[in-house]
Amino acid sequence: MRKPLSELLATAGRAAASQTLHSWLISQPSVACLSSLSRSSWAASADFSGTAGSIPLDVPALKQQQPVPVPSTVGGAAAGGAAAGGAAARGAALPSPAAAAAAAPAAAAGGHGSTVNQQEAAKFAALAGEWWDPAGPFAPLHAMNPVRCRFLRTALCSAFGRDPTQPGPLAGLSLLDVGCGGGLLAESLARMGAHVTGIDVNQGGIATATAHAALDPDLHARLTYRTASAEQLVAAGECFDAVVASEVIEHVASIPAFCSALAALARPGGGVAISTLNRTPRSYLAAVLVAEHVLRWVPPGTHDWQRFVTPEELAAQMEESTSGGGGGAPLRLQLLSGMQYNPVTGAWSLGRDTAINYIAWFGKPPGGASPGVAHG
Amino acid sequence: MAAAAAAALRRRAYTTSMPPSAHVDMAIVGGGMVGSALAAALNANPLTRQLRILLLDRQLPLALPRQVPEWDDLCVSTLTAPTVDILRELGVWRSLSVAAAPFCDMQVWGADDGYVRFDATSVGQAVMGHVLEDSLLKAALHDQLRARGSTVQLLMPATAVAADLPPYSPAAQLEGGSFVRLQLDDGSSITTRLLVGADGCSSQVRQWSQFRCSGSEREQASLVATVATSWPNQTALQRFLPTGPLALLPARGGFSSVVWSCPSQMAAQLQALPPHELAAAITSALTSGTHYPPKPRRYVRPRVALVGDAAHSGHPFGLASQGVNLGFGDAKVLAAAIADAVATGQDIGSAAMLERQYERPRRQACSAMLSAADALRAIYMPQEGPVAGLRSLGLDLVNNTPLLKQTLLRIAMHGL
Repeated sequence: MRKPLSELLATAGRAAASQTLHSWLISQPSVACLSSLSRSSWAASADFSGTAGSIPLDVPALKQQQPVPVPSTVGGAAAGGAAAGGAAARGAALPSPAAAAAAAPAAAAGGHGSTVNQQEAAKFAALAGEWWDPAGPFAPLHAMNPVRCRFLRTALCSAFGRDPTQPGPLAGLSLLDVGCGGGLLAESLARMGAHVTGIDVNQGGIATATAHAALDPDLHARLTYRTASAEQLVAAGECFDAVVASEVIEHVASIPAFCSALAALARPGGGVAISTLNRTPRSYLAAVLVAEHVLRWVPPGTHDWQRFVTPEELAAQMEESTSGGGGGAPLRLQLLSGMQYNPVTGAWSLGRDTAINYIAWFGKPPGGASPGVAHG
Repeated sequence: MAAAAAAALRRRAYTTSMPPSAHVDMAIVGGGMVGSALAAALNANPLTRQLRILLLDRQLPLALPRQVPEWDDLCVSTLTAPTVDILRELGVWRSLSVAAAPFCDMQVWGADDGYVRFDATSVGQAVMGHVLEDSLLKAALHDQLRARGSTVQLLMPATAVAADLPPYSPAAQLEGGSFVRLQLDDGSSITTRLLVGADGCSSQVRQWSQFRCSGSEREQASLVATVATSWPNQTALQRFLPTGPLALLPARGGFSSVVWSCPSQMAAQLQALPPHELAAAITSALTSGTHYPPKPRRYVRPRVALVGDAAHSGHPFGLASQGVNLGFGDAKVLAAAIADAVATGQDIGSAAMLERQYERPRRQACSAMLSAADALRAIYMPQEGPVAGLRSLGLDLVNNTPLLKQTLLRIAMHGL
């Protein structure tokens, strides 16, 4: 149901402080994109038929019905948080809210195995189609993927001493993609030669990713997907050459805990890559006003501008949460790049302008604890 | 089954610097000038060198002769400066430059008086373009593909008889498998991530892709002949007659190549004429009674891309055999797009990537070029009416305005 713009803008102002809309952060794309105007699919996916019929969702009810375990850094304090998806921890992906809404009543139906399976199987096809459909609701992500991969290639090659002009430069590296969603980024990294483990708390996304990876015999061997959270992997003591968290951090409840989890998963000599949205007036304009309310590409309330992180804050946060304690040396910001979208050409590019989207690489020093470094 | 297929491939492959396999990354159907250039460009780039590329053609590969032969081939092409740059990057231009006939000026006129004469020196260039036989160009590219260190696998002679193309929607691809399966005439089959159609005007890959086409079928034939001129010819002459353009292009050794595009009926009549009626040494041959099919609206679909005449449907020599330059541009842009995809970990058969980085820029360039050719025909064909009246006036104007001429010339030489 469309509301007049003035009402929406008023609502947006209130919504920023409103916990109901906060809590409805079911993993929405946090990519500001001004591409083509064919976004009618959003109107369909925003119609939560079956549960609430309009936005905002009745999140506390969903939370009870959602079988997926909610990791501690996600959802957490802020009013029921993104519990319903748990998928808030999953990156820029966008599981169809309609699917989430449909899966919830199925789960609440009392765990009849056949009913749940049928529901999920039926929704699986829809999810799969949407995830990997370059013209579907994840189109902004598909358009942005080559650019963030280019940055990651540069960062990883310089960190591990590889030649970026050769094909398959990441051969032999083990990477972790936190919040991998449907596997968009994980597959690209695997194509560059790396062994990638993708984790997400959203089972639907993991199933899609696994199915898509099975199509390609070359990639299949280098991709592993699991339904898990970063904390669970830390608890299991796993370690990777590098960790990537793309379009995730703006959805977690506790950034310090998330940062230290990411850093703990990276081995010394490796590092962590994070991409997210900046908190600037321009990003408010682009990601909140234009994308949500003017162009209506994502439902209003998708992005909580207050939760965006500036590069300076992120760098400070990474240093603080990784220095001291048993964590070893603090992670330092080594590479930073903005990702800009050109609405005329419809192309993304890397550049210096970090005002809206940016991507950063933090290197973990090799060896043990660093000689006394004062943080801050 | 797989072993038998691999064994069959081994027997048929003309050269194998890699072991043959039934699964490749790219299959290029059509080993003509454009298809071979694409394979050579991919082979030259370190990013794409490791891709398993297969080049199929119905005929055996050609080889460049040791000595420059006498001019006797009838299929010629006019190469513009950007094409020569491409060939130079591929490393084949050195062996071809001795055989190519350069020309420095071009004269274009119609049935009546007005004419335009372009001179390369007026824009500071030594030559305007080169005229070269197609077979030599193809031979040079084939030699490059068979040189030591080439990782392209040539499967010649071979014919693809059928192809299973993946559907457009990702959900359907998940069910049915997402690679292309190509059936060859000897019963073996190949799966590939990307199928490139470089098989000319009557492209089979285009038919399999089922693109919607626009425009009408034109029936036009070309009469190609070699003549000896009474004095050395260094000018490309193009005259637009009511029935079609007639071009006289400089060739080596005192010869010139005649390319006459006319209705097939007329071409048949010309062919039936005794030699002395036309000139002393014209040898007439008709090219394959070419139907120029309607142009496809799209060049790409999931895991398929069309290059060259397969995409442009050929165009009756609107501008003195320039059609192949468009194809070389296609090959260069597609090779760059694939290299970029490899650098960023994208799927080389991804329809979104192909559309964004190959189809969109090429459609702009090609439609501009083809519109210019169509516009020229539209200008020259009418014999009566305001267009005809203005034509000679306009041409005189252009001919006498250096700035205008130089601008047009720059566009003509460096592409649109």
